[in-house]
Amino acid sequence: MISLAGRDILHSWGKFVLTGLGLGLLIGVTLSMAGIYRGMVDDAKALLNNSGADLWVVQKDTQGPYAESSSLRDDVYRGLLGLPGVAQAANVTYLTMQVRHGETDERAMVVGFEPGQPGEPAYLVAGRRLLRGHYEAIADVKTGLQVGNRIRIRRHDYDVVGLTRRMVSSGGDPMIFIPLKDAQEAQFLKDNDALVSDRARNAANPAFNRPGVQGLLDAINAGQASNHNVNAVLLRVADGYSADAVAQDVRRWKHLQAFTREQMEEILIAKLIATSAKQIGMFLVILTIVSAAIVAFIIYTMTLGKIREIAVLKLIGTRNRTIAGMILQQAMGLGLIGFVVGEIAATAWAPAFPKYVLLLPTDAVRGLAIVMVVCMLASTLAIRAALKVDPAAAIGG
Amino acid sequence: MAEGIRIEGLSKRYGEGETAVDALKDVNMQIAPGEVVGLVGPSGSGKTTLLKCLGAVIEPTRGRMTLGGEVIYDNAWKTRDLRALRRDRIGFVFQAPYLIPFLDVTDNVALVPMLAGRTNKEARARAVELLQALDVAHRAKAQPSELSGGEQQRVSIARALANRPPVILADEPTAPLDSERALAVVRILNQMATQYQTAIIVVTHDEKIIPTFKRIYHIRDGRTVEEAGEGIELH
Amino acid sequence: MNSTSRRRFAFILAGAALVGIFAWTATRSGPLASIRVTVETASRDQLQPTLFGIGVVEARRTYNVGPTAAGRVRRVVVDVGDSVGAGQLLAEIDPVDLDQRLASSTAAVARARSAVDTAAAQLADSLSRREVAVANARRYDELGLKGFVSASVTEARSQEQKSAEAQFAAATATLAGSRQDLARLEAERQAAQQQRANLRLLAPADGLVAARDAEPGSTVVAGQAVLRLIAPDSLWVKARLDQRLSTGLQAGLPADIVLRSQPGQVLKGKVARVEPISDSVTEERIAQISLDLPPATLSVGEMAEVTLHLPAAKLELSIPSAALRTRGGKSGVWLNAGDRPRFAPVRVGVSGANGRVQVLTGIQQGDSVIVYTERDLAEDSRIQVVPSLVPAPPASAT
Repeated sequence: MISLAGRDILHSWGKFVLTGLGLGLLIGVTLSMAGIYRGMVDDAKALLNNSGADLWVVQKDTQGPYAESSSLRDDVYRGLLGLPGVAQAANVTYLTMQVRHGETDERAMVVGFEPGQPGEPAYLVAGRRLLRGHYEAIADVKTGLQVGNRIRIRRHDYDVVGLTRRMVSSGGDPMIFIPLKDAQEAQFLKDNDALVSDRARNAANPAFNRPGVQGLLDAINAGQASNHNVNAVLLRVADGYSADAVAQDVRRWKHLQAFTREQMEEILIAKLIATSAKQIGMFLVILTIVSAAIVAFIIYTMTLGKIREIAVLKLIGTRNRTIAGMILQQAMGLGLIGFVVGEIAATAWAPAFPKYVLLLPTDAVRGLAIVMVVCMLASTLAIRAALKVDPAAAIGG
Repeated sequence: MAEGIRIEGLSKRYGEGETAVDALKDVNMQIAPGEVVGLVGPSGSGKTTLLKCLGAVIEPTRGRMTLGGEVIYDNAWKTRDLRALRRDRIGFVFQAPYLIPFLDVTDNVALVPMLAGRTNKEARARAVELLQALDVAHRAKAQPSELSGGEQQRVSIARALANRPPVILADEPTAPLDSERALAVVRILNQMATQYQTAIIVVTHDEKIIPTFKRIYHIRDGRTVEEAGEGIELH
Repeated sequence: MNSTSRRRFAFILAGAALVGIFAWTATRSGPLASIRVTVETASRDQLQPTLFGIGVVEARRTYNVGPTAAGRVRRVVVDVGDSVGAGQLLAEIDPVDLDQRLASSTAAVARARSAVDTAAAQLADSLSRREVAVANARRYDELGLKGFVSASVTEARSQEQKSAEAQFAAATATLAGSRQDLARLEAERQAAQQQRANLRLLAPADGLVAARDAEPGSTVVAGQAVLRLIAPDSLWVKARLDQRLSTGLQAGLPADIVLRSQPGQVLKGKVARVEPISDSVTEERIAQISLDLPPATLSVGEMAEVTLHLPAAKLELSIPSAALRTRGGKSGVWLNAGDRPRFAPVRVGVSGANGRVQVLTGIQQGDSVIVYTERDLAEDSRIQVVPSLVPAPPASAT
């Protein structure tokens, strides 16, 4: 038995290919949307994985440091190091800000870290690690910076000495890593004008400006201008200890909150990304319905154009289910062409997106299954029309 | 007779009660294998209905139909699979060739034996044989759209013969053709009928070919009347 | 080949091409693709270890010159930027009533001196009276014994003698008292004089006036600085080095100093002193770096970046610092050994200025070390060695 569907496709291949292309672009958009969602989740996971931390210790009653702002004293880590099960404790700061390079400003998340401790970039794609304690930076390639560039963050100029990859904030901003002390200053120290006006205000305050107490005013100015805060302390749990147990220990300190990796993932993915996820989910549903409608329409139209042939086929003895199968196979063939075109298109244009698009093979397989099911359902309309054809219609007159 | 087609007391009523229409009233026909008879009548006379009954696409109301020695209808269908009946025992030739446009000529003809369960190779061999007999074998690999009207018609006749049915129903096969081609079609039908011992009923009102039939059934208002035709020989 | 077969062939070809592209894209990008890495061979290198710190220019010695008592500034003789010598008058505090008090003290001393003279004269007088009274008493005593005078007369003379003795004692005491008074008032006068002297602010040593904090007419309290002096050739850089990155810090290390005001110029110096007390809050060690040739425009409070050169290590096995990874808390590198990468824990020594770091244990010379990776590696990652992960920067990068 020859394949009627195959012969029909071969015969009007132009129509099929064009429709397949159009459908494929639509499927490509659908796959890209799913990839964008996966990319967002992967960004969040990359943020958590690349920090090398098992626990995040933040200000009590905050969901920080990514979802909310959190501020801790920078000597808190010493107490945490003393807890059983804590192998490493490191201060980190995070601040999303504009970084100046030449004439342009880049939006980046500036991370303050300590070399060799959790929070430093896990791997480099160029350059070297920080050698000096100040004024050097490692940047993510998404910033467009090269090794050797000089960038300006607040008051100081930094040399870009290394490049890394896939270090992005949960919002998709690329990260720039600088030494912790410089980051603290960048985040917490005010600009010169503010400092000058603060000093004038202190000097005008008779409680601070006591001539009999030498150095009081200077001490107060220095105290106000000092920056001994960080946003979080990253802990690495020693082998054999459970992160939850250590987190419980930390929470018993009444002014600290600790999150394990699962809790951080939930905060980032469930809370930060939730709205975007819902939007993307809605888009996926709409696109799927649109694709189904298009396939249904195309196949229905093709079938209507073959009414006469279907009547003849029925008359000369073709089974109903052979005719239904022909239509079904055409629909699924169209779906297959569309899927392959869509997958290739999605892969081709994924790097062009400003955010990370992650196309997983499992998503592709799932997408293929959904496309096939959708095509099957979409073909029912045409199949019904075909089955209703009366073979007597071929006998005209 | 043992082969051919025999119809006794066939009636078809559409509708019920006061609005009922009797399209066929007690029709009797008999065609021997190898015979080509004409079924002639004006439109509305019921010839299309009769063809549909003979073609097992509609169910008569009453009567008896015997096909190739087998009773297929006796006040009710005697066989459940009408489609198989049509596939194996009845061949159709239409006004227009109605070839499947996405199959080539050979496959158009071979489709019918394939549907009957033959292997592709056997089916195609049978198709080529018939195409040769109809003198269109040189177009075996062509698409239907590439053929002339006459060639297409010949291919459709080959398709009708593909399963060696005992009867072929031809519905106005010469309507769109000029006299030369019309007579050519009739000549072919006669040739095939003799060669394959098939009974052929040609429904027509084409004056050009009516003289060629040896026997003609006139149908009017659902009743048939047999009469002898002129039986002009064709070469 | 007729059109159907040709078409079929074309279709199959296109289908195969599509599937091929599909498979190619799946393996080239996305999670199935192999990870691109660059490698380098561990080799022996001369490392140039350096330490880095930032610092502020300070003066070794700063003198805050001010009064020891509250007062009002009368005049300031020098201004910022003036060089002064030791003992030079810099400013003067208004004596207010101190001059009058000094005069009063002087007068009191003079008066006390007169009182001493008076007391001395009185003493002499009482001494002579006593002599007379003693003589009289003796004489009358004798006369009394002889019976020439009455007993009451003898007693009276004897009484007079006692009285004269007492007067003599009193006069002696009065003299002593007025001498003590004189001493006291003299001391007070000297104190007032000293205070008056203190109102003249003199330069304690040679130096440069760095700040002028009070103007004539302003009131200053004890201890408040009117002027600040620094020794101009005693400027050094107080550099802070992160405690973790300060191994090998010691006095005498050669230093390169870059001032914020002159970013292109590298000044030479050396570590003059490492402070014994470090900053525990900022976790920094403090070193004082002296400049070999301090520029004339050096100012206190200027920021500077200091690079110290540790003695070059002998040829040591070294790898790029970018190759270091942390895995499960252990520091190590990924080795490109055979099909899959292998993690080798290492112990590192000093870091060199060129981004290379000394390896003490963990790998051998000639091992192929994975340096740059596109992604985090695992034991079962598929890797593909490429020459470089980033396109070479254009020649005109800033």
